[in-house]
Amino acid sequence: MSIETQLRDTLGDRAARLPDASGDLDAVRRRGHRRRRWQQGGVVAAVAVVVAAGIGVVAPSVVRTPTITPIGGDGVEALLILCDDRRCPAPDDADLVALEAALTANDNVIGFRYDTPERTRERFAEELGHRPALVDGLDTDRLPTTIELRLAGLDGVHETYAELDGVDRVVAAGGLPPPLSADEIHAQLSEDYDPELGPEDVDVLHREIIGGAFVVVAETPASDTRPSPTGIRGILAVWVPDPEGLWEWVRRGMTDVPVGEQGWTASDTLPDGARVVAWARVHDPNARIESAAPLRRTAVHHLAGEPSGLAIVEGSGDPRIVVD
Amino acid sequence: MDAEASFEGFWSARRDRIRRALALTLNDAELASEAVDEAMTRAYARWGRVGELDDPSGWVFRVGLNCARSALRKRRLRPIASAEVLERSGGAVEIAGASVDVSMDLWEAVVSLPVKHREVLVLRFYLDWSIERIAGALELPAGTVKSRLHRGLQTLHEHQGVWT
Repeated sequence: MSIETQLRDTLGDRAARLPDASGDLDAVRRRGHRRRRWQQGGVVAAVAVVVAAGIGVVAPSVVRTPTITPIGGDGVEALLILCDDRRCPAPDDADLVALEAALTANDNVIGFRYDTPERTRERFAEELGHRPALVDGLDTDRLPTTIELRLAGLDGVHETYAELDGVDRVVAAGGLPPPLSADEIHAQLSEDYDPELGPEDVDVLHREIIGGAFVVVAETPASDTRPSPTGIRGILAVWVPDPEGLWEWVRRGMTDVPVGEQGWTASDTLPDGARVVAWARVHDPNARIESAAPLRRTAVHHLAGEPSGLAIVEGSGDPRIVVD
Repeated sequence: MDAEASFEGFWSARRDRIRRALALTLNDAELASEAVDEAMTRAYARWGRVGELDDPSGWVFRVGLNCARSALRKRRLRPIASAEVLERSGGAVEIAGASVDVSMDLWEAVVSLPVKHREVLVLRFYLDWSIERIAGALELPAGTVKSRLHRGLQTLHEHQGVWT
């Protein structure tokens, strides 16, 4: 008997042994009606937040980050308030409007970015009835006002949040869902890049949220299906958020270049139109990036212990690593 | 057919199969019941949109699975296929006879798989969904579904010597 047939039989047998549970359609309907009312309330509250944010823009003395945009979506359960110390010195009525909006549209936890001032957190804590968690470890220069956070994994980036009491999920506001866990990265890259490889074969060198995408630079051993003269392949993988703002990252692109005498380089386009260029094992100290478009940022990260880096180029320039 | 009747028809025809598929995926019948009802509630609240989807069952399965994951995270983020869950779910089933033992061995191998492999195996071999339908429901590329099916079956093959 084939494994498929055995599996079919086993699953059918197992499912048949499950206890009956007919469910309560009327209860589902009652809850569903209530959800509809909440959703409608959330729309009204979102308008209030936009108005409040607008007031902040026209009144220079109240320069601050628009606090929250309530976001719908299935499974949205919590919001994170980001309140930058330099731009949000203290909560005001608009903050409380935003807070009310968040609580109307979402019935769960609110967290604060790590640099939110204590007095702000105290004020919100009074309203919430509990002290929201602090969140750290993100690319704060590029944060939207709120960010989604998924606690799918307990390693790597997620580990920071998993230890924070009170943060369950944080909602994207047209911005950035959470990074994948290291396990997910390994598994997805090994599966989608080359099924011959196992997760343990993927060496993640760098991961970062840039331009609305989650960018991973990795290396894997070469294989029969993806050979390389030196036995190593470089990967630049780009994930973008699930369009529904749910839990999943959708891998949009992955490029790889064989390792040669002068290392490897790969590039891709980010959702905001910028180009991201990764390189590693480029040993020549004179190696540089050439691009027709301006560089937004470049940094050497010493990936894999070798001269290497990640560069972001504005627009669709054709960046490349040049070794004279 | 009005929306109420349409949803009621969907509930009657699909809820139990989805619940059982979730139970197999999660290895937790109780959690599956909670998850499918939460997903059904969300579907009902926006039935005008969900009911028009190509595959509302796929939507409910995916949302139910995500709800279950959230619930597990709230339980201090314990793994879905932890020994505790396995014991709770598996312990409720009477086992008698060698043939059932073989089935249980395979089942134990199934629950040892990562959830992402298990979910595609359940959808493919319990619900008999096509690759394309699974890909649509889970919002994955078809190639990824194939890859996960292949890897899941390969792992079961590797364990096959244990029960044959």
